[in-house]
Formats: sequence, structure tokens, C-alpha cells
Amino acid sequence: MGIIYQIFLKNIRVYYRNKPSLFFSLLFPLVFIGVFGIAFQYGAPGNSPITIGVINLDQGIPGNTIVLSQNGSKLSGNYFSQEFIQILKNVKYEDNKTYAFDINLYNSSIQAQSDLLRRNILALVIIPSNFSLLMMSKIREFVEKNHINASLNGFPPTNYTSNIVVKGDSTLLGYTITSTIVSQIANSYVNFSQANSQRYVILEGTTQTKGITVFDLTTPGLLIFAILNNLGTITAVALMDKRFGFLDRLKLSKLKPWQYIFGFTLSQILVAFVQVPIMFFAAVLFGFQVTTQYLPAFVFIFFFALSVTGMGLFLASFISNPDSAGGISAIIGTPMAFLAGAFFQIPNPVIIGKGGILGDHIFRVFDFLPATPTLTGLRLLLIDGVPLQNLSFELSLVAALSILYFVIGLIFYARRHLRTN
Amino acid sequence: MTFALEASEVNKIYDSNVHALNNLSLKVDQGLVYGLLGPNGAGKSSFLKIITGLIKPTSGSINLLGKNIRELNELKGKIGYVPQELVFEDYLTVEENLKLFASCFSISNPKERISELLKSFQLAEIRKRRAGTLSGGQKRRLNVAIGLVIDPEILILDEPSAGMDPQSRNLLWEMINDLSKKQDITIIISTHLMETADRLCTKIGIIDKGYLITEGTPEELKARYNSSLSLQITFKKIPDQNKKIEFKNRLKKIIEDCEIQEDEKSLAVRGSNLELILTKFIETSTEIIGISNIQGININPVTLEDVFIRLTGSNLREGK
Repeated sequence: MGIIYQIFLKNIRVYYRNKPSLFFSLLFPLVFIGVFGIAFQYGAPGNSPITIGVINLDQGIPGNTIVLSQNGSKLSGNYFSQEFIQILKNVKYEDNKTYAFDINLYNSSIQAQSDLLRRNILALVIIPSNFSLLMMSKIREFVEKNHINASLNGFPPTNYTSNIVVKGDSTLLGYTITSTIVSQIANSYVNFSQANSQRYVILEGTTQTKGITVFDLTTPGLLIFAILNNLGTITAVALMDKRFGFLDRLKLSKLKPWQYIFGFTLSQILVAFVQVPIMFFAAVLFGFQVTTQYLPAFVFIFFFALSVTGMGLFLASFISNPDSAGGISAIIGTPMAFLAGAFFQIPNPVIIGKGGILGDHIFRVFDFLPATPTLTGLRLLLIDGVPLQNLSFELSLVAALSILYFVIGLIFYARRHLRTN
Repeated sequence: MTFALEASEVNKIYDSNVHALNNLSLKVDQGLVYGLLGPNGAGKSSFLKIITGLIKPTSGSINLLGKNIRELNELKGKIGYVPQELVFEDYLTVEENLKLFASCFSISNPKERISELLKSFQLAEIRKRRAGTLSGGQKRRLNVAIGLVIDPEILILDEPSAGMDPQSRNLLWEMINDLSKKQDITIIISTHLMETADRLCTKIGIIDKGYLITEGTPEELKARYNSSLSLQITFKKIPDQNKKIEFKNRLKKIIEDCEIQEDEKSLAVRGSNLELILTKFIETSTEIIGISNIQGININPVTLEDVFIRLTGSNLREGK
């Protein structure tokens, strides 16, 4: 344990005694916090409704199928999509007075697109034609899971899928807020088996949203950006340890490669753990509206710091000059921050599209970046106050991707630098 | 007899097809101070890295302290290695660097050992200074001190005095001398400082272009290569070229194994028979050149450097 502690201590000392690394890890992101804080803390939409459009393409419940609600009444037609639209209409800001959305219903997609382009509406929500069938498949799932004796003739299978589309200009705050709220409500509504009771709560009009500022939305991204900024230092230190013979000298000692890596990784995670509260505190000073879920955020930070360490080890396996580590890391880290949506959401680059080799699943470049689920998780925790236990998907994704990144980095670094040539 | 090092037909070919070592074989007895001499690029550092297990040889076998170097794990903590490059962390203080390495080597009583090293290498006063801010000589001393953080059974030093000021260098040689006398430690050292190698090493190997050219004690080497005497005659005026040629031819006839070197105003001769050279050199030069034109005659004992230049055709210090 003493050896690991000494390696850990060495890296921490190198970190805080090295002015450029301190600048890039802490001061540089703090400047961003300041700039974004000043620029966008007053950019909030306030408690005014966002005008959005809805096109309901739902073809309804098939006429020959009987669907009953929990109280036994028969449901028909566009019951589900109408109910969903009603939920959207009932969403309120946290003052419990102002509605979040002012909804225009469209029959024609041409008119809706035209209004979207003219910014008469800030987002367009398209309810798909098979929305009711989707809900019926969810009812089947619920019935089967709970062993309820009910006739399910005409109900689609449980793996039935459908997509609600939110269109709009992703650089606009109104679109960002809309897509976030719609996706949350849609997930909650559609997931009938989990949220059966919640549906009726939502219908009672208690769903609320607070007045989110651009700065609120950006702060989790800036935390990601700060940790990604460590990439240069991590790469340089890992590279210098080899380049200047430090690792060779240690090879003759009783230090084992895993002890070196463990001490090295721990130090990088600690750096992130120190960085985040400082950034967080600064963000709060600049008006970041934090929820109570800030401690669980460190679980995401832990895994993300692990992935960045893996990336650093990976880069150190290929770069030969420590002086170029900073530049190359910036070339990789900055686009990664943008792709994950750290500063603002960008159009999704689809690499394997619908109907491709993975069927209906759509994978995008940012799906493979640990920064993406980390950012989603941090936003849901810090802005929306979603408890950690409800973020098992995001957390599992971050953990899986981060461990994958770390293992890949480790394998390359060990092959390149920890073995005898 | 147990050898501290047994290297047999070691070859090292780097990716760029550079042959760093060619069938190099040598044995080092336990407790010896073995000096490895050679110009830059001779293969000294490659050899030292191979015998410490830091790089793999292309072929050949190496036993260190009776163990095959492939079993590096069993040798860990027994090898003290001082690389030619300065290997420590610039952002750590002198003391922190020593602590780090002491911890990695899992030595007992690290505080006591660090304190000893700080004192021995005159680093105690600068223990709190960051290594990156030290002078060249201080950095070198720290580099060596780190190699001695353990009590090694074999100490390998690769050009440890490169860039050291004379004071630091003397301190280092004294330390090495003391170590070799007090403990049963084997020291293998590569250096380009002939006078030091001559004074410090019990055995010397000369290496060039990856080949071990020769080895022996400093005295054996000097004797083996007729290097016991060198005479130099200097002239007042530049003598006539014909006379110089005649002088050289005459001397070659009388002393067959002599070597003559000349420049404008002097002639030097080397050979094994001191008496014959002395008599015939003076006799012939007086006769042909004339006593009035002779400014002086110097008798020089030949150094290891002369041996080296003779063997490799290079100037060791410059590595040319």
C-alpha cells in the first residue's frame, strides 16, 4: 500500500506544482464558468410558456380491440396520444402558476415545418402513427409481468417500438428545454409498467418545471470540459514517466505494474474530485441553480475520470514527445466535449442508421463517448434532481464505457511502456 | 567461481537494423570494479541496459548474480542502476525523490538510509529543493544517490560523472572506492574518463562498435600493447624534410616494433624496449638532425587513453 501511496503522492505533487497543468485543469474551466455565468445567467426564459407545435399522427386503438383502463372503462380512438398531449399542456414551472408550454396543434406537417423555420414555434413534437399500439404493447408488458388475468387479443408484442420526434433548432434554449421535458415525460408515460400510478398524478397537473437558465444547462457540460482538460497532463505525465526513464528505473524495484497504474489512476481521480467541487462552487456563485442531488454526481465523475485516465494512457502509448501531449489531447478532448454536448447540443451524427446492420437501433458517434451519458446523468441529477437510483441506465452506460476506455488505454500503455523491449 | 556477471555472445540489433552489440561476451568476478570504456555509440549503454534486464538482447545469454536476467523478478532489489540520463521527478524535492524510490524498493529503515545518502552526497542542505531547480552537478549526485537507495549486490553506473564538476566527480569516485572496499559489492561502470578508470577499476573492458576489443587490468592492458614508454623530441627549427625521413627510416631499421608519429616541430616514438629506444633515439636524432637543433626530449609514460586510441583509432573523450 505504501508503494501505491508514494506513486499517488508523486502524481498529485506533480499536478499542483506544475503551473500549466493547474491552469488547464482549473483556471481555464473556471474562466469558462465565469464567462458563461455572466453571459447566460440572465438569459433564462423566466416563467413564460414556450410555444411549441404538436402533430398527432396517432392512428388510435384499432376498432376491434378492447382496451380497458384500470377503473374498467373502455378506451378508444386517440385516447393515449390525447392524454399525452394533455400532460404536456399541464406541465408547469415551479411557481405552480405558469404553464411550460403553449401548444399549437397542427394537422399539416407542411404548416408546422414552416412555423418552425419562422420560429413561430421553438420545437415541433411529432407523435407517431403507432403511438397507441406502443401503449398497448406496454399494457401487455404490464399485464404479463403482474400475471393479471386479461384478454390481450390484438395487442402488439412487448418488444414493440415507436419514436416520438422533437424537431427544432438545437442551439435554441427553448428547443433544449422542450426536448428534455418531452423526452422525460414520454419515457415516464410510455413506461406503463413502471409508472402506472404516476400517469394519473401527471394528469392531475402536478408536473412542474423550474425556470432553467442556459447557464444551468451548461454547467454540467463545463464540469465535463474541465475533466477532459486533464487529458493533456495525464498524457504528458504518463509519457514523461517512460520517456525520461522513470519507469525503467522503477522496473528494477519491487514496484509491480499494477501498483504503478493504480497509484497513477487514483491520483487522476482525486484531481477530478477536487476540480469538480471548486467548479461547482464557482458555478453556484454565478447563479447555477443546484438541486440536492450533487453528491451522487461524484459517482459519474469517478467513472468519467477513469475513462479520461484511460484515454491519457492510450495517447501516451502513441505520442513520443511529452511537449506535444497538450496539443494532441486538446485536438481530441475538445471535439469530444462538443460531441457530447458539453456547451450546446449539436446535430446528431448517425454512423449506423435505422435499418442498418443493427436494425432499428440508432448509434451515433457520441453514443460511444463516456462524456455523453455522464453529461446526461449530471444534468438529470444537478438540474432536474432525479435520484441516482432512477439513473441506472445512464450510470451503467458510463461505467461500461469508462471501464472499456480504461482497459483499452491500459492494454496499449502496458504493451508499449511497461514491458521489456 | 561465481561470477557476478556472465554475458555470453550477446547481440543487439535495433529495429533500424543498427547492430549495437556483436557477439559480446564477458565475465565479471564478484567484488570487482569493472570499467567499460568506449566512444559514444560503442554499445556501452545498450549493454548495461541489457544486463539490467531493461531491454532484451536479440540473442545471447546473461547471468547476473547467478540468475538468468530473464528472471528479473528474483533480481529486483539487488541491482542498483544509475542511468546516464537524469532520472528523477523534477517537481519533487530531493528528499521526496529519495523517499519515492526508497518506497518502491521497499527498503527497511528508509529514513535512516535517506539521511545517510543526503549526507554522503552532500545533498542534506538542499533536501527541500525541487530537483528541477538543482545545478547540473547536484542533479548528477541525486541521480547516483537514487541508485544507491538500496544496498545493492551489484551496482551498474552508466557514465555517472557526465556533466559533473570536478568536486562532485571526486566525491563520487571516493564514494565508489569506499563502497567497493567496505562491501562485497560488484560495480560495473561505463566511463570515458581514463585517469579515473585507471585509478578506480580493477578490470577494464574496451568496447567499440559493439565488439569487446580487449579486457584486463589497467596494467595488463598497458603492457600488452607496448605502451610502457613514449619519447618525444622537439626541435628549435623545422628540420629539413629529407632529414626527417632519413631519421625515421634509420630508427625503424634499428627498432623494428617502434611506432613513430610526427608533426612539424616534433617526433614521437613508442616501443616496448625502453633502453634500446632511449639510446638509439637520442643517438640517431643527434646524428641526423644535429644537437644544436634539439630543444628537448620528453619521456612520457603511456596512459590507458593511448591504449584506447591505438585500439579504436578514436579519441575517447570526444568520441570521434
